[in-house]
Amino acid sequence: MEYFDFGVGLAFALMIISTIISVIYGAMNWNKDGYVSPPEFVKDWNKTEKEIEDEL
Amino acid sequence: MGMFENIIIILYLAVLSYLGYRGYKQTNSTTDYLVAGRDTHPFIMALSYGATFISTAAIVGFGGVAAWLGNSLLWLTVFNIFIGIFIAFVFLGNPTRKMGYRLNAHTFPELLAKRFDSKFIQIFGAIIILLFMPLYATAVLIGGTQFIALYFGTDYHMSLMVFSIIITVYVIAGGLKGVMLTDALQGSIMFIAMLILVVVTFDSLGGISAAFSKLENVWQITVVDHLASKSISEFAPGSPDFMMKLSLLWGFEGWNSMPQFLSKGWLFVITTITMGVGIGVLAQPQLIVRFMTVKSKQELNRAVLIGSIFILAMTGIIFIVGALSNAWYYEFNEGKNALQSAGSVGKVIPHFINTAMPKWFAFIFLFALISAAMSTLSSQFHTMGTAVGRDFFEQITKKDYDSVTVTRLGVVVMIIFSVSLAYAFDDEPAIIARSTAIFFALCASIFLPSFIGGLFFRGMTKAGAISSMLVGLVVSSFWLLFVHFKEAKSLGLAKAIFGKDSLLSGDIIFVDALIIALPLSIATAIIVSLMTKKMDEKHLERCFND
Repeated sequence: MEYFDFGVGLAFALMIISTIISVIYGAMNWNKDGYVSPPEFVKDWNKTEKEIEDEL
Repeated sequence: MGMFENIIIILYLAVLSYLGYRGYKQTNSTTDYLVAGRDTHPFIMALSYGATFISTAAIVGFGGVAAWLGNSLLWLTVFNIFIGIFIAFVFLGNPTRKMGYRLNAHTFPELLAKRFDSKFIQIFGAIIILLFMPLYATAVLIGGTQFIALYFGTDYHMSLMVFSIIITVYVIAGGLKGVMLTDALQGSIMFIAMLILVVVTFDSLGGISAAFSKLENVWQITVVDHLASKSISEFAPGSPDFMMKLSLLWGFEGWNSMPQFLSKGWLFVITTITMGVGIGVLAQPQLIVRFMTVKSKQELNRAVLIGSIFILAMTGIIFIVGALSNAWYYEFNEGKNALQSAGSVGKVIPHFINTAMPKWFAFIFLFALISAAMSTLSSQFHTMGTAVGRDFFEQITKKDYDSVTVTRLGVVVMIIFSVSLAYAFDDEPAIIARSTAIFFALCASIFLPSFIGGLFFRGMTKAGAISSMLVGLVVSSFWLLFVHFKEAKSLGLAKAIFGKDSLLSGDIIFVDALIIALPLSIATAIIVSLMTKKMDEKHLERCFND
């Protein structure tokens, strides 16, 4: 970093900081906001499950 | 070519074929073919986004520019990561995904058209894509083919045919699923090649600190001491010394320094390279459609992590290596800098790889370059195919066709068109050489206000969107054709009509078209939207509410 002038040094630092922010954001939200099955689908799926179980 | 190279080539083609076949088998509907079934894995989505974004031109072209102008190009990497990945994925990705799903949009023009309830927008968007993306694709095609022909010693036209046929097969068969799966493979190859490149480069220069410290000395000896007292007219235009003298005149003071504030060099690096590409990426149709390929925000969250590391490894490394190649050449090539050794900006990276790297790595790097070209091209062909089929043909004829068949035909038409251009112009004419910059500037100026306004502002109207697109098109075209020092001079229209390269003079001709056109396009969108009737509330409910 001491070999860069202020402008290039800032770019270098922001490049690393941007990557770190993105990595932290990705890691912290890794399991958030996942896909939720629509209620109708769940209802149908439960019904099918019950039918299979009854049959068995 | 030895046994090792033959095995690698066969293995690569075999894996490519397998992934194309997997895409084909998993494609059962229009949604599968156009938006990859909206259930893409985050790893594949992130790598596909990155690999599509980073073409051979980004690696070879911008790497060469970094050898010429130095580490000031790292500002582009900052924009690529912070705007191109973080802002794009965190703030734009999920609203795009949700709106695309609610409106059942399958392409970027279709998303805008359905948001603003305007068929004109869909057809207009398709025409913009069809007018300008083939030139951009041709530039990538020519670049990729030239590398293949050069490395394998084969005929250019034969290489072009083989290269195009391979891409054609998996794009047509596998649709966006095939494209994204192969992109992920190609992105992984590019990632590994870049990591090896930076390690070997630093190692050969004695470590990170030593490498950067040598750059100052090399600049002083090969540029300042050698050229400061000479006039630029003493050198042949385009020659290495001419280019380095030009960089001095533009205000550059070293490869580790920014050019003087507001100098020609500063305006070029900041407005054309950093903002033109860094902001322009937000409005690229082939990238935006990838947000519609995932089923929840979770995939986008994960893709932020993967995408940022990927882009850092791509542009961050190639810019640093490009600049450091000056130190390497000085040390190992009789005291010359990179341009003096390689001959021109575009030749620096290939020359550096062949001269400074082990033979086996030159072959791996060739694969990375071919992969970069293929991943960008396959996405471009797919986007152009959807523009021809779904956005243009289906809207014009107003009949219900099978979208997959129409899009496949569209892909074939656009590949034939792009390959014909590449066949005719193996030596790039100006309009193709400048097509990447032209496409980025146009897309941002035309689409960005409507895209962001459409996602976040319920008050944005159909008239506001259309007028902002038209203003963006007119202003950016005017600036590119008649003002900007690179495009206006290369395209030659200003010279033909007015007898001079640019209608304006002074440093303003170094300002990118996007800097002029985008604010005007945004202002038009706001003013016209405020002055026109709001869109139907029921329509807005459908666009915005789950």
